[in-house]
This record gives sequence, C-alpha cells and structure tokens, in this order.
Amino acid sequence: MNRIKTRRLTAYEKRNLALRWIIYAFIILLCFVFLTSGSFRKPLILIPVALCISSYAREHNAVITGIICGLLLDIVCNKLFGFNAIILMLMCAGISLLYKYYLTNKFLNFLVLSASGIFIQGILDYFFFYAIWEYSNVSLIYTDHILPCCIYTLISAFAVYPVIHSINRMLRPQIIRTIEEAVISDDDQQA
Amino acid sequence: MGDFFRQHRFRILICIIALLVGMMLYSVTQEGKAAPGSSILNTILSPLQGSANNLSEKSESFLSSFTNGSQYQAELEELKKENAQLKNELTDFEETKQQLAELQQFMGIKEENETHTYSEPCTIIGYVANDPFHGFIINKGSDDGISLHDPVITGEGIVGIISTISSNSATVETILSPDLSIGAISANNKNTGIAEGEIALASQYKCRMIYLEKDSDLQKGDLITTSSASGLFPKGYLIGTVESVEIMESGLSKYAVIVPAVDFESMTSVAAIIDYPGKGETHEQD
Repeated sequence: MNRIKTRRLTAYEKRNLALRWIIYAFIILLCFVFLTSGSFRKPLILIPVALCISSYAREHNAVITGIICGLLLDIVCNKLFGFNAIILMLMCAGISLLYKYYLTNKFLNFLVLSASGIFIQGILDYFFFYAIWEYSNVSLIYTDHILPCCIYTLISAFAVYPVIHSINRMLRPQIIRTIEEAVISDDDQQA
Repeated sequence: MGDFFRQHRFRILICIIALLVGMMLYSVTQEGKAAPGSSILNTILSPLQGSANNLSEKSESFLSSFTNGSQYQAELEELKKENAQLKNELTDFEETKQQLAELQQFMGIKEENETHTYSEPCTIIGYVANDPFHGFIINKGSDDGISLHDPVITGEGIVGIISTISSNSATVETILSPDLSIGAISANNKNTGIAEGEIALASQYKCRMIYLEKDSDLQKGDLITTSSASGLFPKGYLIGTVESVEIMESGLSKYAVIVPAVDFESMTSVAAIIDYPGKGETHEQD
C-alpha cells in the first residue's frame, strides 16, 4: 500500500515540538509533586493528563506517556510497580488510535473517554487490591474512597483539558484538513 | 485502525506489555523491596517529594489558622496587627516545637529499652495518595540500616511497619491497615488478642483488638500494648486505649475498638526499631 509522505518539519516546528514535550514533562512532574504532598484526598490527576496528552500524540508517544504516568502513579499510590503503567499504557494507546481514526479533538469526546478511563482504573484498583482479599466491609473502600477519588479525578479533567489544548494550539503544527486549506498554507509558506 | 494491528508497532506494544507484566511479577517476588525501576525513580524524586510535602504542610497549617478563626475571634482581634508578620515565623516555630517534643519522647523510649536499636528520626516526606489506611513515606531507607518489616514508632506509641523499602526511602504501613496484625495485650496482662486494622474504623483513625475471650474484663480506657506474639513487634510498646468492647459477628469472641496512642494526622517524624531481642522469632503468647 502506498503511504502518503508527510512533509519534513521546519526548524521552527521542531523547536515547538521539543518545547511541547518539555512542557508536558513539567506538567507531569508537577502533578506527581501534587499527588505526593499532603495527606488529604486528591484527584489522581496523572490519569486525565496522560489521556489528554495521548489524544494529541501518535501511538508510540502515547504509549510512552502512559507508561511514565502509570509508573509515577504506582509510586504515589504505593501499588504494585507496573500495575497502573499497563492500564494507562493500554488506555493511552487506545485513545491515540481512536483520535487518529475516528474522533476529533473535542472536549466532550475527551470527557467521555476520561470518565471511562478513570472509572475503569478505579474498578481494577478496587478489584485487585481490595475485593479479592475479602476484607470485612470491603465495599466501604469503593464507596468512601475509590468513588469520591474517581469523581475528583473527573472534575480535575475539566482543568486539564484547557491547559493541554492551549499548549497544542500554540505549539503543534497545524493539521491541514481540506485541499483549500492546504493550498492556502502552501501559498503562505512560499510567500 | 485494523492496519495498526498488522504493523510492527502493535508487536512492540505487545512486547512492552509483556515487559511490564514481567516487571510486576518481579516486584511481587521481591516481597516489599522496591523494584529497580521504582528504586531509581524514588531516589530521583524523593527530594522533590520532601520539599513538596513540607510546602504542603506549611500551607495547611497556615490555612488552618483561618478555618479555626471563628473560635479565636476575640484573641485574633487583639493580635490582628502582629498576626500577618508573625504567621510565617509561627508555623516554623510550631513545627520545630513538635519535632523537639517528638525527639524528647524518642530519647525517653531509648532510655527505657536499652537493648533495642533505633534508627535516626525519620521525617515524613510524603503520603501514599488516597490510601484508606493512611500509609506514608519516610526519608530513610536500607542505607540507613532500616530493613523490611521493621516496626515504626513515635514517642507516643507504635505506628506500623516498613512495607516497602528502597535505598533512601521507605513506605510505612500503619496499624490501621487490615493487612497488619500485631500481638496485643492489655496493660494488666490479663487479656490477649490481635490488634489489626478494619476498613470501617480506619477512616476514624481507629483499629481493633480481636480474639478476646468472651469473659474478658477489658473496659473502656484500658491501655493496650504489644506482646511479642507475632515476632513483628517487641513487647511493651503502647498501641492505644480501649474505646469500647463489642461481641464479634460470629458471637464466639469479643473485640475492642482501640484509639491509637499515635496521632496519625499531626505526626511529622517517626523512628524504626532496627534491632531488638527476638526480632523475627515467633513466640508463644506471653
């Protein structure tokens, strides 16, 4: 199958690309610091951050983002090292593919996917770390801890999306959707 | 999208999943020792965790002075002018004072138990995010002589055990966790049982003592200390005070709700007992 060749990035675009990933790394680090500080209940903000970055990234970048955020989440939540990494990696790869083939970058799409991701992670966490060990009153863990945490995390997604979206608007090479747009863009470049 | 599953990328993805599963299985076999990747990340990130937690504690302390403001309104009116200037100094002073009190208590315990070896005081650098059992991370690890399952105490009483360890940090599992069972005995040496966490009580920072005999005379206010029955803890450390005594669901024995001696919400530093006579041995009930 013949593949459409993508044009090479200009130096300006390359610089923007590097800057974009540096800012992403800084945001991830900031979220990690937030999650480790204080004994109060916190949203697992690394989940929406990873999912949102993946919605703008290619599959392999999304996979790496998912693994890094997942491993950091394993450290802050003291879970089995790699548990959240696998979950987030699969989610991020899935989201990247969904956006590549079927979805457009709209807030509602992100919200629905984030909600699904957050609740799936919550259910898996509850099942593997509490339910299968059959503690007494184990359902309280879900109702009093995991469910509120999922809701907080979902609320945090409202703050995450505008930040990542703005970074992408400023620093990502524009995707040309129509032939007319491509012609205009080509004319601009020639000018 | 079907193309993706036929590409090399998909095979690489499967390999990465296999690698992560392998890493998880390796972590399981390490029985609490941090996996190499986790250990490296901990080493890099623990200074960051420490300073972030310090900042968080200071802001919490600063904000709490506002939330409790209504109770001290009269006093605040008098001190309004001085307050803004002194607030930052005050938070520092309170923290230092608390640390000093904790260190004095550690010294007292050290003098009482000469045969026990303690670690240097360990500062809490972070908390396990959203842990229902209030686990936390300390700034000392295996390089400081601490090992896995070492008991963790404060001057007030026992806190828990080391559940995960890396070279320069460790995670503490508290006595509020149902995964931790400690041999317990009442101060009058008459009632023995097992102290362990319970999900419903953990949110109120309480635990319980189970397997009490049905004719047990344990009462509200009785002190509960560790026995050396489990081999996990040395004998004689205060666990807490009995709040109430109830019949177990099975009806065969009683359990006591215990208010731990340690204030989990306000503690800032702890110490690990790194060696004591009978460490690791399982004794008969005293």
